[in-house]
Amino acid sequence: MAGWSMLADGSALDCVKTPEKKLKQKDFWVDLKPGSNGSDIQLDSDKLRCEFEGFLQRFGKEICGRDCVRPLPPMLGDGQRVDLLKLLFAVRENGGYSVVSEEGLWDLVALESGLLGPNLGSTLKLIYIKYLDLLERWLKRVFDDKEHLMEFQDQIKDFLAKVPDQKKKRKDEDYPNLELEFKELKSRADGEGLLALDSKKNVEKISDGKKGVIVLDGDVNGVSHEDEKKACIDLSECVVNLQDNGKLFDNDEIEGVVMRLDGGSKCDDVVILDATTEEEGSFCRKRKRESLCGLLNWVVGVAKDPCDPAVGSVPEWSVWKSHGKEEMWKQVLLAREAIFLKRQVESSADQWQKTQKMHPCMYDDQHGSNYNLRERFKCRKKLLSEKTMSQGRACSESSSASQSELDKNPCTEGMEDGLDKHLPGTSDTSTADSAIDKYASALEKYVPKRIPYGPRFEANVPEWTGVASESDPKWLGTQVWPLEKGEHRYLIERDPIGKGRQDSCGCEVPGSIGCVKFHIAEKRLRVKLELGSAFYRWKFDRMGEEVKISWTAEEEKKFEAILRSTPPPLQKCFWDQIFKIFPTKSRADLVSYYFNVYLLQRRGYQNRVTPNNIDSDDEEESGLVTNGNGHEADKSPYSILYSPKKPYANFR
Amino acid sequence: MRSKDKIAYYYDGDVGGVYFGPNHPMKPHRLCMTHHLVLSYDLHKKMEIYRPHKAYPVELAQFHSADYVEFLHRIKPDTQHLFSNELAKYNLGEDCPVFENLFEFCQIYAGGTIDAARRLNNQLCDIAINWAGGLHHAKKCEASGFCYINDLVLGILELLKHQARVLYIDIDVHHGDGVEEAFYFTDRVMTVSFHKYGDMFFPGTGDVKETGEREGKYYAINVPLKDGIDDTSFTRLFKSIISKVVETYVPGAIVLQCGADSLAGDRLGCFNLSIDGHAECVRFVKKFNLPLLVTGGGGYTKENVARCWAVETGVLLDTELPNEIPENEYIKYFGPEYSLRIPNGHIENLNSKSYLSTIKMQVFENLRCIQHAPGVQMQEVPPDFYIPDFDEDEQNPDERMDQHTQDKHIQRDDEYYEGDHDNDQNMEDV
Repeated sequence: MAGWSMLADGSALDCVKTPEKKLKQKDFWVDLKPGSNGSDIQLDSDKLRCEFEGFLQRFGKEICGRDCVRPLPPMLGDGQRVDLLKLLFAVRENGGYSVVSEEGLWDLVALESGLLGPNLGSTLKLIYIKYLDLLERWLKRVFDDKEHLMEFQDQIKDFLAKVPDQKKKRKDEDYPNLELEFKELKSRADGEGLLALDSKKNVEKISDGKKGVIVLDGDVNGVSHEDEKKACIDLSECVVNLQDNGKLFDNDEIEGVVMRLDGGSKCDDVVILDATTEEEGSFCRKRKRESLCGLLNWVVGVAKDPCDPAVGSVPEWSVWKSHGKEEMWKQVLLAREAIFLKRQVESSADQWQKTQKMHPCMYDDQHGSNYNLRERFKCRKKLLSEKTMSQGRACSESSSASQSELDKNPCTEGMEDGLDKHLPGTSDTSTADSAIDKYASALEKYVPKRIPYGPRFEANVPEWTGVASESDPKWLGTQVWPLEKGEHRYLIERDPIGKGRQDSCGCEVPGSIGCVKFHIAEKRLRVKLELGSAFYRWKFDRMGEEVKISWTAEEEKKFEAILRSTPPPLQKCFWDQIFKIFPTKSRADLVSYYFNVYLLQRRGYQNRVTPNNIDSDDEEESGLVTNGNGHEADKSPYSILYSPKKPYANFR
Repeated sequence: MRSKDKIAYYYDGDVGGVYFGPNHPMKPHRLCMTHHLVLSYDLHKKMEIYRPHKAYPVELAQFHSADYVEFLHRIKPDTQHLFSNELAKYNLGEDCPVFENLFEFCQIYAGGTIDAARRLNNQLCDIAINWAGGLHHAKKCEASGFCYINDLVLGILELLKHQARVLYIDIDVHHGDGVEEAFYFTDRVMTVSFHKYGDMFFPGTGDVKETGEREGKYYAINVPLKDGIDDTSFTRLFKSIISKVVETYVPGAIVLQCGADSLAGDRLGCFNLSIDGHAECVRFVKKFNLPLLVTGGGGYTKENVARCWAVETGVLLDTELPNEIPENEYIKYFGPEYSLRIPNGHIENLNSKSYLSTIKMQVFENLRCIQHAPGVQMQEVPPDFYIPDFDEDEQNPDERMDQHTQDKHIQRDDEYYEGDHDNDQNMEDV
């Protein structure tokens, strides 16, 4: 849990800023007052302690999101309970965390908070950092600057003003379901279905959720269409989480078992068990609560106090196999194994499971890990919005509930069930916090593509009635070939169909320019005679080098000169220039000349002179990279022009 | 195998003059070159050639939203600066520029595919070809990836008037997202797309896990591939998947999108297919003897596109084309070799044997899910068709119905792969 001390650095605090402001709302002051004034008034000390712990728990949830929810009260290795309130005041009396640390007063503090035992100082310091440091910082800030509050309110107002605006736009666009969510959101905010637990708080949360979007998208909001879309996605995700959150509050289900997730990939036993705890938690809740409760309790016990003799000890890895199922830790390991396996598709065919050695996404080259990149980004994104919302729910809860909403893409079944979603949690809270900005920018790029649904996307496919419905036989195309009867046709000679080019000819110098010219002209004449009217209907009269017949030699020279003067990549202005110089020729004529004469002649030249370095038009190589204006790089990541790892140059 | 199929081929002489603008990789002039090549091989003598009607806006609105069609109709290059909001809304501009004759171009290629479908419906032909069509990225309300109007969706909708089920196959290097999206929720169309996936490759969809939703669950098949896939592995994968699909889904008609950007040396693509490998897929689909609508699609090295589609026209006409390209107006574009063969690609093949077999297993697994849950009136007997044996030594048709045996065969496939023997050892451990 070393990462916690990193909270001291600025980046982490930035993330805390939003909820911190919110805490100034009434709700929390109510709780706080007994805390801060409590020392003077002689209240029942137990009651006070409980209240303080309750406050701390909520505070933690609000500030840090789920990762901050820690078991209360904290216990030392020897089972002593630490009275956090006493600890807080002991430290404050001694001049605050930094003073105590600098002057090495932790042992003294331990004594003052009523704890017995040698060398408790460092343990206590750790507990303070984990439980109280944030509170101390926050208190300091609250008293330091009051103007935060005003600022915050303004921001909310601003955003609320923007919301209906966006909604209107959306109507014309592609987020029909977003509106729905807004409505739901409103009805929720109006107090429907909110039980005892502070409706006010919920409303706050909603505004906070919106705020979250602003934070998430930073200055991007409202700048461009694309970004707006994304903002809306974020918003809807937040909303989903929000509702989810609301429900959970209604149930008043408080869950303390959130351990540091370490992915379970290292061989450190304790760490592995921790990871299992989390999984077990979600797993148990969803399915067989009873059967796994004993197991869960054991895990909770371990989490609270690893040294508790009741827990027993876990033997070396090498002897795991020899132990039976009656051992709790063995059960945990088995459960973990089961959960890992669970991820595979629950296939009816055994054969399939055996043959399925690896999930295809294992081959994704971007990551060495066996988890789908897109899923992971999705999760990180969720984590992100959760954090900004600072809601204190276990990832598994909210993600499983919101996933179906979020994920319009059907691919969630089976493969990435469960475990993948936990992965983002593997990073330490504080590092994750500081990395959020990085993720945010990455996410902008890696927003997974989803198959959207709704009338704006689907084709209207009628039910099959079993009877072929009438289709309009009127338009079937106009027959061009074979020619209508009656039209006179010449058949020059009967070659077998699909004959290739003849290698030998009777020309004086086979393969010479003259020879090629002759054969093309010969073929052309033949085709013309054979095709009859079709020749003109297919516009063959306006194709090939014949096009230049209508051009004077001078015009041709001019055309070529312009093209030569604009080196590739061809600029847009090249056509403008040409249009200016040839005012009498239509645009189509010029384009036709370009393809039928200019490029063809150029290619003919290349074929003869530089057969190893050929490109059929000027535009090929450099054009792709710059697309004329050189703004290719700013394109959205999913442009069809974006073709990675493609050797453009010289594919001959 | 019958060889006297009646082929309808759609071509409009105006299409070759369409110009997307300087530096734009999409060059409709390739259609002109294709047509010249087809004619130079005298293939026109074996088929009927039609000029498509220009699809009316109301026909385009069978799939697309009326406002979008109307906007396409209205927008002109010289006035486009007045419509920046709409351009953004309909995704016009960068990839999909507004150019002269844009709407007419859409009308022609969409009209071709619609006409082709109608001709098939009326049993006036067995195979219809429209190389100008196949613009599979276009969405209902926006343009995408050089595609404005999704002629494939319009053609399939037309076919659905006479067929209970239509199979769509896409061998463009890009994912056929527009078609998949349009029919993602229906079991009346099964879409199968083979495409490059990953590395931010356009359009970013097409994971193997995208399989359809609601009634359409398992009726969208995606075969995501990596760079550099070669003929052998591609055709093997294609054949095994498509034969399984046809066997399972029993379509009444097939629409085949033959995007030529999956060829080696394409300006945008990254596969290593030769023209023979590409055309082999067409040959294979033809063998089912179902009403077949063949369209073009991508393809950005235009002389290769012309070569490929000419060869495939030949394949559909059961005519082998000699390698030496006959004289024609554009023969210079095919120099210096003047042959149909294209140079081999030199992109490293990143598709390991085990990757491909995993993908295949996944697809088969999804297919198995619909085997016992027939969608639209599976009992309705479709016209006779013939499932070709593509590798007699590998698969005996007599055993095919037996699922267990089938699985064994698939497993056996893997044994051919080098360096994959550990697979078998694991099998025994389990």
